[in-house]
Amino acid sequence: MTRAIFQEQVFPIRHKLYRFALRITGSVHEAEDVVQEVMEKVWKTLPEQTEKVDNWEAWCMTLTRNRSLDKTRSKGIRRSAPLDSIQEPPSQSHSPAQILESSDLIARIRKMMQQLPDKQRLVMHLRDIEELTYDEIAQALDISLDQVKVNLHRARKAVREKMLGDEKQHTFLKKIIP
Amino acid sequence: MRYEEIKNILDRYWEGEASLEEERTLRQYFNEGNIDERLLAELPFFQALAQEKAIQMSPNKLAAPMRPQRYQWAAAASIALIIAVGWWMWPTGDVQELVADTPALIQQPSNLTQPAVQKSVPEINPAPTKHIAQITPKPPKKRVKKPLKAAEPAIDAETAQAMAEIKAALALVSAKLDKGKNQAIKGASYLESIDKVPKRKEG
Repeated sequence: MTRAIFQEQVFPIRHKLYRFALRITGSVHEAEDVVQEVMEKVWKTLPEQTEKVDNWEAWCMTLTRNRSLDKTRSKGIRRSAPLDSIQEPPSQSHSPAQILESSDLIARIRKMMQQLPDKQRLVMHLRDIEELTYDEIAQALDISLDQVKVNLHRARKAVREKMLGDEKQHTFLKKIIP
Repeated sequence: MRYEEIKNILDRYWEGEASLEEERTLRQYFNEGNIDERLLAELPFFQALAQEKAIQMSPNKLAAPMRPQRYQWAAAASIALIIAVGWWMWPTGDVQELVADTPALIQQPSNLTQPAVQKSVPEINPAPTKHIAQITPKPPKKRVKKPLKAAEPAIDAETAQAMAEIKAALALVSAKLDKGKNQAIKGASYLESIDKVPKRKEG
């Protein structure tokens, strides 16, 4: 029973946990360690937690957040993940010209997301990348539903404004510099 | 999908009012590639999200947790191995051989002690039990030493008499010394009393 839960509900979300840990610690190695430790803890406490835990994904996210914050505090590691450590996505269905043209803007948007305040950054990550519900995000980050909605709205607004501002600037520069 | 429909969802998305399902629809739309030109300005944002989601943990980094049952089996196997080695190493060998060898070991000392040794040998219980097997190596040391002490009675009567006389003489000397000590103390106290009398007279 416990083995089935682990295989079906916990192990498949390891990449989500890794991305979340990476978002908090900013270090690939620390994020890997966090996921390993979380997996071990979940495995060891699985028999006693089976009755208590309803949402394994949210619970694992909470463990990942706590462990990542512990590491960040104890080692003073930097917060933002290095962009060069992030793998390129699978090939898109857009034309190569389009991808090349927007690659710089995409990199800037990712950087903007990294530079958001802590809560906004983590809420946006859990919603827009990991596709968690508001309730799951509130549980994982130990904040209220209102805080989730407010922080998500502010995060998206900040990123969009900067993105559109950058794009306008880019278009303007293209016009004046042939 | 029609432009108006996507634009409607997109507006609600930026306001934080779209449902999770609607947000998935948006992501799917922008990742499929057939995008309306009027929405191209939004494309880099969803591409950035797609890139973030593509990050994966290295498959070699995560070791599968060991099953607890394996720990238990490993512990049980270790204990069984220790017991087996201990049993094999324990000196349970041929007890009768050890007992049979014991008289020969005891007879090795000089002929002077032989009579006492011969007397002690029958006391050893030759029953082939494990406890005796542990004890048998020790008796030779004890049994050999005892006869040396038992050799004292073998001293002839003259020597014994001489020793008794020496003891008596030593006791006499000791008594004399005690007597002399007491006399010395008395003499010293007498001298002190004599010394004090003139001082009183002078005072």
